Amino acid sequence: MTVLNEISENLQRGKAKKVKVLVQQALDEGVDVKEILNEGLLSAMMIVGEKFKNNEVFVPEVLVAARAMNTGLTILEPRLVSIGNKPRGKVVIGTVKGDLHDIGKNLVAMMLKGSGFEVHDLGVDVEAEKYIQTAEEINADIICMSALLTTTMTYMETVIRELNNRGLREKYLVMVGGAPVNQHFATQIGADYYTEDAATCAEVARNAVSKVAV
Amino acid sequence: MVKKIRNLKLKSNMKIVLNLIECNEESVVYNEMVKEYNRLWPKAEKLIEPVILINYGQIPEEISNKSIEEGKEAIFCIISIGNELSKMSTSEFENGDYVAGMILNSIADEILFQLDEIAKTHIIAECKKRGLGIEKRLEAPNNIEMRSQKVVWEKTNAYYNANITINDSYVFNPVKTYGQIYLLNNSCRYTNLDHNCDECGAISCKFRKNKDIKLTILNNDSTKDQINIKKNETIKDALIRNNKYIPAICNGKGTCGKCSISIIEGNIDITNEDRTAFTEDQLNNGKRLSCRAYIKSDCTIKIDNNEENFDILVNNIESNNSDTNKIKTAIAIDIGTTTIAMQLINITTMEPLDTYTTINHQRVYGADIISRISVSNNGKLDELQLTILKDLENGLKYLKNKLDKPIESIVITGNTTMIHLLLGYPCNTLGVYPFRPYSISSITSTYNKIFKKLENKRQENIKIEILPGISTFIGADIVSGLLSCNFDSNTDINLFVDLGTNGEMAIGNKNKILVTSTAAGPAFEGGNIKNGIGSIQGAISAVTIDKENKCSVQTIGNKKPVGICGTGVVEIVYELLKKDLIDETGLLDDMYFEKGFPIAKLENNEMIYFTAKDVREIQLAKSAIRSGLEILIKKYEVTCKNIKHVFVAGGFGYKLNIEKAIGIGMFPEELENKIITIGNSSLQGGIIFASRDSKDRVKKICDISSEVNLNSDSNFNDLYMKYIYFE
Repeated sequence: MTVLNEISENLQRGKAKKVKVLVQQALDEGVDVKEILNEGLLSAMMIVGEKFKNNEVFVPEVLVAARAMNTGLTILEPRLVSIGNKPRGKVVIGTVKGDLHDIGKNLVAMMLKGSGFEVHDLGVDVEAEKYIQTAEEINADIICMSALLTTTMTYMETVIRELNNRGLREKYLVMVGGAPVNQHFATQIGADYYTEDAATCAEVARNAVSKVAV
Repeated sequence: MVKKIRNLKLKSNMKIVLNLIECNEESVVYNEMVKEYNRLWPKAEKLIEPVILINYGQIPEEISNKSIEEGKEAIFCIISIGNELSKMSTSEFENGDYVAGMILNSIADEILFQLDEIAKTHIIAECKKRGLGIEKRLEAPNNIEMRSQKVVWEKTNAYYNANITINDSYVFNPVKTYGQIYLLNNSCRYTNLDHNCDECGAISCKFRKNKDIKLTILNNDSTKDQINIKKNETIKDALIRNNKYIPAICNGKGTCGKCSISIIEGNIDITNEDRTAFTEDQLNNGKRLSCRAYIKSDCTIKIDNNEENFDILVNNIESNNSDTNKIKTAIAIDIGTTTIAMQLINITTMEPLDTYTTINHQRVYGADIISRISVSNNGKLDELQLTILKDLENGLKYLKNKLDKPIESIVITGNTTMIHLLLGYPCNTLGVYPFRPYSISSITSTYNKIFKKLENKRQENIKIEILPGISTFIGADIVSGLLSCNFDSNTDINLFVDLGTNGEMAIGNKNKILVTSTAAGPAFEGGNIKNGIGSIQGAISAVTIDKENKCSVQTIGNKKPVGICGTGVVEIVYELLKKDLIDETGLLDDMYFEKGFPIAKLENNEMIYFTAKDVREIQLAKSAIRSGLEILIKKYEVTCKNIKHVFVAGGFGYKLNIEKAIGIGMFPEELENKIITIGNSSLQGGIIFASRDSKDRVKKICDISSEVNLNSDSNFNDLYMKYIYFE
């Protein structure tokens, strides 16, 4: 079994320590950094995401896998920076202004990271200005907004309106989610995508940026 | 004053915490999760700052609405575990330790649930102190607007008491803070303080309770049946779906009160219709209308009005045990709107060999014909047809098992709508002017054809004959009744009345017959009467009132009274008239006007009353019959003197005390000695048809009959107004 296969298998089973050792070993053996990332870590995480969507694994398995992935990524990151590796895309994410709930947003950030996105998590209670400013600064591809309440989800529209006002709407893909949000609402406020759960969000984001790239 | 509960020592429950993240013993990472939990809990424990704030007050105007009245007493409650645990969860997520972040978040949630349980015990204590019950738990945004959070926050002075803040979007900080309002009520013995999963938007919540709600039905014989009840399904509909019979006279409008159930265990919210239908005592004893009742958690109920034991009228003649090998048999069936009667007969002697009776289970779709027609027009024709086929099939199986001999034929009679529903004919023209039937011709067919829609039906080629009708209002049942009274061959002029919801009547002889029908309403069958009930065991059927205005009653089967059936109703009105407790306009004496006249006590000591409104119902019903009779007699250009016999048919008519019926003005006095009660004449006619070649006789009856339309008769209205009175 190649070291990349081993990384993938251990990651899927959530063996963080093992993944850490194996990633280092791969680097020492001179395996290409990008290969370790794509074929060792990201493809394994994608398999887990797929299994989660098909109800073959549940939240805990995803969590341990994502943690293992993160451990491996920590080792790879300096090398990725030095070779100027481009992430799959850049995401600005946060829970909208007025809302302090962050667990859903955290899970989405986790899955996006596991899909190879560079994720800028702005936390909770995020104002429009903050979303837009960060997106502009890092040259983001996607803005992700979360809200858990009917009273706060309306702020998503405020952010989109502000993007429009500044003529920046076309520059970003806007994705929304959270318990009270649905496709109807997303369409109504002019968001690009609504997804029901974190795994779907990551998948849709992957497809969306590849479409934009073409 | 705000009650503040702090310094609670709480122990997290690992199993629940892990279940919240979908982790149980079978999970491949279970051990890993347990290890992580054990590592994290000691840290988490130190970070929890539990607090409960409770205050009593009134609902302010700003959050009041139709169901949440302003000024209503309420308890306002806030629970919180502080901010530190959430902070730790967030920072673990930032560090990429998603496992730790998620477990800490779940610990926070689980501790909040525990706090909620503790808060409940304090709230119950608060209620007991004030002698109040809890009507409903309100939680934003599930069943009250988010604005209420601010109200709870103010009422509990949460900033001062626990340093909790709230923003313009009504979000608390700390985020792990819940606010609830408990609506109080002084008549409710139930404490509805549980979170209502049905009204909650968190559909993927691991604690959601409504996944499989079980409804248990306690039967009269103390056995229990358990059925599944769907979300957004009333108990009535669940009962019907599970083939449990429940009378629904008004077809679920919440007005007739006949579908009532009693809660044995569990909890069902009180609706506005419940408040109209039941007294406070009854509500407290758990009475609810099943057509309005939705349940949110497992519940055990008892069906109050058990009509399965209907005392259905069949004229039973003792059989003289002829040699069973030689006899030829047939089955006669009368499908009534309320009941179905079936008899296995010896066609040589025309004697009944056995009888099967059942309630018409279409009754769950409404008691009267109009509701059946409208249900059928609303896409339920197939269901209605299947219901009747099942009822008939049960009877056929029972009767066929009696004799191990082939049956020559089955003869079916019934009113026009019942025959339409049996055959699956569209009913959309039956209920609207000009009230044309789809078809009322006689039918000769086979079991295989008529019962083809029935699942698991037997393969049989028995001949089935269905009698013809005269019109939408005068169906095969009346034709059959007229056959049994020899209307096709009598030279004397006779009257025929079938007393039921539709009072069908006929006058004539072999030369000419006039028929008509009049909307008597369901009063004679116990419908529309406060304590009315069908002719079941325990129904009050005879009544006398003594000098002290005390009632003595007789019931069917000499059972404990359960309600008043049609004959009982007539007797009560007669007795009240005799004692001058009802005046000639139908006004009930002042002394009883409010509550009604006490008749008898139910098993649970509740009093059965006969109300002022019940008197009105009887006035309408008896006037409809009387006016119809008068018009027919007049149209036939005869007087009472010319009439030889009055045949009174129908289950209700059979046990009717004729003297008392005349006493309330249902029949003209001149007919007193001419009245003969004949019971189920429709079934009798069916027996004749099955035993003797009667096709020509039936055809003759239809041919010489013409229908009188009472609605277009100008005299009818005058008579109707006149006979409403007791004079």
